[in-house]
Amino acid sequence: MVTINLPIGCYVRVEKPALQAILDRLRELGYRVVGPTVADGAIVYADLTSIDELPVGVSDAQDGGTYRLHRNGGGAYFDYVVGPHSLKDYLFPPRATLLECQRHGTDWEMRVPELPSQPLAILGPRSCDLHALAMQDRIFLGDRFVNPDYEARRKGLFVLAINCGRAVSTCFCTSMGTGPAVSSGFDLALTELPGHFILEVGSELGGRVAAAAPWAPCSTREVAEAQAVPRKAEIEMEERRRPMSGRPHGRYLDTSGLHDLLLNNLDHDHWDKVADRCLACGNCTMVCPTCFCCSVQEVADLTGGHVRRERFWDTCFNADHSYMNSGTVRKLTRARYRQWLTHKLATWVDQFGSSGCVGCGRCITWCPVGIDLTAEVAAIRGGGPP
Amino acid sequence: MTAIAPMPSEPSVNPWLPKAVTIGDIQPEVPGIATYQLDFADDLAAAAFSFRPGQFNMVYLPGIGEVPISISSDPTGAGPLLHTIRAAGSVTSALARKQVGETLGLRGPFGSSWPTGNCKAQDIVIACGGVGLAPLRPAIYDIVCNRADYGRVFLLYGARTPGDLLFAREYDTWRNADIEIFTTVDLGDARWRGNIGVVPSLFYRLRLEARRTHVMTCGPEIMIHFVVFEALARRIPRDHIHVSMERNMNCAIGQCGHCQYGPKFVCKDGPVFTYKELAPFMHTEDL
Amino acid sequence: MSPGLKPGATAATIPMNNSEEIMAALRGMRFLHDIEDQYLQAIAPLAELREFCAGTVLFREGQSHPNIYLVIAGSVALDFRFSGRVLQTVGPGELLGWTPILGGVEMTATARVLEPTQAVAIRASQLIALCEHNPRFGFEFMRQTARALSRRLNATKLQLLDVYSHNEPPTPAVGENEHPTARVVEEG
Repeated sequence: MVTINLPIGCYVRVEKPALQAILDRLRELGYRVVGPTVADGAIVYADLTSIDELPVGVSDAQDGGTYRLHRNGGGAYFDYVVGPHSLKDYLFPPRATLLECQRHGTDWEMRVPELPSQPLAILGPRSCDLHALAMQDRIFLGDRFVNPDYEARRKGLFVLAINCGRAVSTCFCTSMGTGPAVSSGFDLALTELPGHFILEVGSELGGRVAAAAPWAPCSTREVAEAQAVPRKAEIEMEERRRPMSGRPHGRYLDTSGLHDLLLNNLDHDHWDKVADRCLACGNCTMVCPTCFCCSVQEVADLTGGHVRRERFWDTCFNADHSYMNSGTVRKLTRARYRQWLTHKLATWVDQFGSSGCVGCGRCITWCPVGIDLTAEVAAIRGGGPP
Repeated sequence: MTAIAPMPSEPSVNPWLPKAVTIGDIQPEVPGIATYQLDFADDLAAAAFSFRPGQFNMVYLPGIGEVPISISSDPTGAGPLLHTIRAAGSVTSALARKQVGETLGLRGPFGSSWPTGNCKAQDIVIACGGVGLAPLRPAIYDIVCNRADYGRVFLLYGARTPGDLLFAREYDTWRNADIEIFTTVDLGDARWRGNIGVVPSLFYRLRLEARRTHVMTCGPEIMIHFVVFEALARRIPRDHIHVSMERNMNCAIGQCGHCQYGPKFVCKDGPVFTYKELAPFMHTEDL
Repeated sequence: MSPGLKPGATAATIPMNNSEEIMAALRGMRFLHDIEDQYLQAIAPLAELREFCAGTVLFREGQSHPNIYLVIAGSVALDFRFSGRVLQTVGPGELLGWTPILGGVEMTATARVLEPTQAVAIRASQLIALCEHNPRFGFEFMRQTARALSRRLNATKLQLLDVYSHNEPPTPAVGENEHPTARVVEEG
C-alpha cells in the first residue's frame, strides 16, 4: 500500500469508526494514548484502547458549582466541553520525583531520576487547553530555568484536538481570545459533523498518523461546514451574554484595562465579600490548566537511607503557602483570594507577557460555592478606580 | 537603576541536581546564628562557582529538606564559601546539629545582587538589622576591596541586644577601611554605652546629599519599611534605595509560585530590588 | 557621673553664645527645617550652644527643668525610675526634654550624657512666651514638636515589636473574614 503523508493544513473526511485506526496507529508508534472517558460522573482523561470507551451520546451541563452529565440520545462522540482534567495532569502531574538520594555511610549520592520516555498522545484537548499548554511551555521551558520533567513529557506529545461545537454557561474563551476554534499547537484537529469527522492536519506527524486511517479528501463545502461548527459555539457564547430578563446566562470577562484595574484596587472592599464565601479549598487551582504552584518535600524510606525529593501540586490558598519563619504573609482568605485572582489576571501579564486565564470556566464549575471570577472582576470594576 | 540581573543557568543543567558539599567549618557567631563553610566535593565545581553580593544558595539536608541561605563570604577573593544563618525552622535547626565533615547538597547561586557597581563615586548607606547584615557583608567586602571607587560609606546596624551584634570583631577592620559604623540595640545591658533605639533613627546622625546617596537595606520587613521611609524623607531617589526582600522560597527557580511578591518572584527577580520596583506593592497589607 | 548637681547645672565648658554659631546650629537642625529664618532669629537670643561631657546629668525625673534641648552631636541616655536600665538613647537631630514646653513641670525621665554631646539649650518659658506672642510661629513650632514626638512614638513602637526575636508574631486580633470596620484600630 502506498502511504501518503497528508500535508499540513489539509482537511480530510474520516468516517467515525475509522477514528479507531488512528488510535491503533498511535499505539503502534509506541504512544501511550489517553482520551476522554466517563468516570465518577465526570468526563476525565484515561488510557484509551478503543473508541467505544469515549463518551458517546453524553453531554454535560455546567454552571457555578455545578457539573452534570446526561445521555442525549444521540451518537456524537464529543458533544461536551472541558472536564476537570487538562493537559496539566499529564505534563505537570500532581506528583513527580525530582531527585533521588542514597546514603553511603556519611556521604549522600544524589542523582536525577530517569525521565519519562514513553511519548503521550492525547485525544480531546480544546482550544482553551492548547492556549494553556502554550502558557505552561512559557513557564517551564521559556524562562531562565528549564523544567526537565516537563520538557521530557512535552517533547513527544501528540495532540489530537477537538473543535468545540457548543459552549456551556461557564465558558468564556471568546473573552480571552483563546477559542473556540482550534488554531495552532495541534498535530490533528477534529471537528465532529453529524455523519463523520473532519480532520485538519497540523503537523507532519499528524499527517502521517491521519494517513493510516481510511480518509477521503474534503470538498470546499465540507471544509466550510467544519469551520462553521466552532463558530456556532462562539455565537452561543455571544448570545448568552445578552441579558435575558435582566440576567446574562453566560460569562463574559471585560479585559479592557484589567491589569491596572486589579492592581489599583488591592484594598477594595470587595475582596472581603468574596472571602465571606471562599472556602480556600483550592479546587480552582487544581482544575485550572495554567496554575503551576507546587511544593517540594522529602520522602524517605523507613531506614532513612533512601530519600526522594518529590514535587506535588500546591495552592496559594493554603495557609502555609506564604509561611516564613517571621510569620505567614497571607493570613486571611481575603489576601489569598486576592493573590490568586490578581496573579491570574494581572501580575501574570507582567511575568509571562499574557493573561494566565484561558476562559475555560473550570474554576467556576468546580468551585463548591460557585464563585465566578468574571462576576468578581465586574464587581471591582463597578465600584473602584479604573 | 535596577539591581544587576541574575546569572543565567547553563541550558543542559538540571536545576534540581545539587552539588555535593561538605561542612568545612562551623563558626558560632551570636546566639542562634552560625556561619557554615561549605566545600565542594568536586574541584571543578569549586573552581566554577562564583557569586555576587546578595545572592543565596539552596542548602540541602537529605532526608530533611532544603533552605535558602545568604552567602556571607568575600566575593572578590578565592576564599572559603561561607553561609550565615539563624536556626529558626526545622531545616535550619537540623543544620545547627550537623558536624564538620558531613555531606550536604548545594544549588545556586540564585537571585539578584547589590548593585555596588552602579554606586561608583557615590555615597552608600548600608542600613540593616539582625541577621540582615549577613547578605550585606559580601557587599561590604566588595566596597572595602575597592574603597577608592566610592565616596562616603556608612553602616547603620542594629540587633536585639549587644550580644547579638553580628560580626562585631570585624567592625574595626571596616572602620580602618574608612567605613563609618553606627550600631544600636533594642535592649541595652549594664555595660552597654552605645545607642539604644531603632536602626532608622540612626539616619539622623548623617548629613546626606540625596542625589549622590544609595541606601542598601536588609532585615525584618518592618525595619525595611521604616528605613525606606527615612531615605525617602531625605529625598533619596527611589531607584537609589535597594532592599533585600524575603519570602517563602521553595524551588529558587521561579517555578513553584511561593515567593511571589506582587508580580515579582523574590527568588529570581530578587531578592535585591530597588524601592522604585516595589513601591506600588510595599504598602499593601498581606500581599 | 556628677554628684549632687542642682537641676539645670552642668559640668559643661563655658557656654558659647556667638549668635552666628547659634543661627548656623539652628538652621542645620532637621527639627527646625520648616521654620522660617525670621523665627529662627527670634529663637536665637533664647538659645545657648552647650557642650556636655560624658556622665553629665542634664535633668532628673520628677524634678522641674527650665530648658529644652536640640541635640546636635553625641548621645544621651534616657533612664526611668524603677526601669533598672536605659530604655532609649537620644542622638543628633532629636528633641530632648519637651515637658516644659508642653505645660508640664516634672520631667518624665532622667537624661544622662553617654558620649560628649553638643546641644542647643532653649529657655522653655521664654519660648512659650514667643509662641503666645506670635501664634503663627507658635503653631509651626508646636507642629514640629508634635512631629518629633510622633517619630519618637514610632521608633518606640518598632523597639517594642522586638523584630529580631525568633518568635512568630501572635495571630491577628480579628477573626477570619471579619469586615475591616471590626478590626482593632491602631493608636497613633
